[in-house]
Amino acid sequence: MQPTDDEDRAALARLAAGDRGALSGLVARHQDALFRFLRRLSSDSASAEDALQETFVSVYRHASHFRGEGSVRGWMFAIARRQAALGRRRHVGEPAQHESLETLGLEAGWGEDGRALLDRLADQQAVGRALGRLSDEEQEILLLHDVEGLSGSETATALELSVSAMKSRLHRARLRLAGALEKGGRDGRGS
Amino acid sequence: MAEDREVAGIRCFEVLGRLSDYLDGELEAAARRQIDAHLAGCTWCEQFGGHMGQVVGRLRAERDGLKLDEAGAKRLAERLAGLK
Ligand SMILES: [Zn+2]
Repeated sequence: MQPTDDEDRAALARLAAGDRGALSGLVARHQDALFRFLRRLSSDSASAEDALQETFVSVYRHASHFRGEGSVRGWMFAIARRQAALGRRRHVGEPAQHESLETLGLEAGWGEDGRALLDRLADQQAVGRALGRLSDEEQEILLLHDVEGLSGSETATALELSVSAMKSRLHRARLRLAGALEKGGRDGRGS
Repeated sequence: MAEDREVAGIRCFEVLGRLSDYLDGELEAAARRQIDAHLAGCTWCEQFGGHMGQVVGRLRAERDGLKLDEAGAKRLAERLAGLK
């Protein structure tokens, strides 16, 4: 749990009691991280901004619904994720195709000398591009856990999953990312 | 050609399955030691594990650079100030 969670909980309690001024601390602490997350999941900056506004409006209106489990940050990311899904007009919990871990591992370059992957890693933008080629479901878990640094339990909260289901999805998403990097290398430019 | 094999009492594909937990420090000491031993004796997994660690590490850098700009922050503040 991150150190600001106590402040976040206090702010939510004030919001739930009708003190709208308590929003400003939450906004200051989380607007950039939520915006980055939404920007990645939205087609453009304006949609991301709309989703960000609706996220904080929802935090304000539903402050009393926070059940106190997990962090406030994880709960807010769950709201943001639903807002992003509304913007995309698509079902939130769309199941990913289930390739075996072995297949994912081989596609990610297990058992090869891995030079393609190393070449891709030398390119600063390659990881961002490879990330963009993954499904929304894969992107969001990597954004939450590995980019924004949410803990395992916060990520599980944000995705409304059990911790063990979250871990399994995270692992598959990382393998898919490494696979997308490999593939980008083999295809040449791989934009 | 690399293939799934047993080193230090654990197969490559089992190591592959636990790699994220290993990289995230989520394994218990005994499981961690077993994977350490496998990696010490298996070039394929050792190399792949190193690459995966780099890929995950690189994701962290994606966090830099993108912020809500000033105009966006202002619009957000205005929207929230108008809430009833
Ligand atoms: Zn091995």
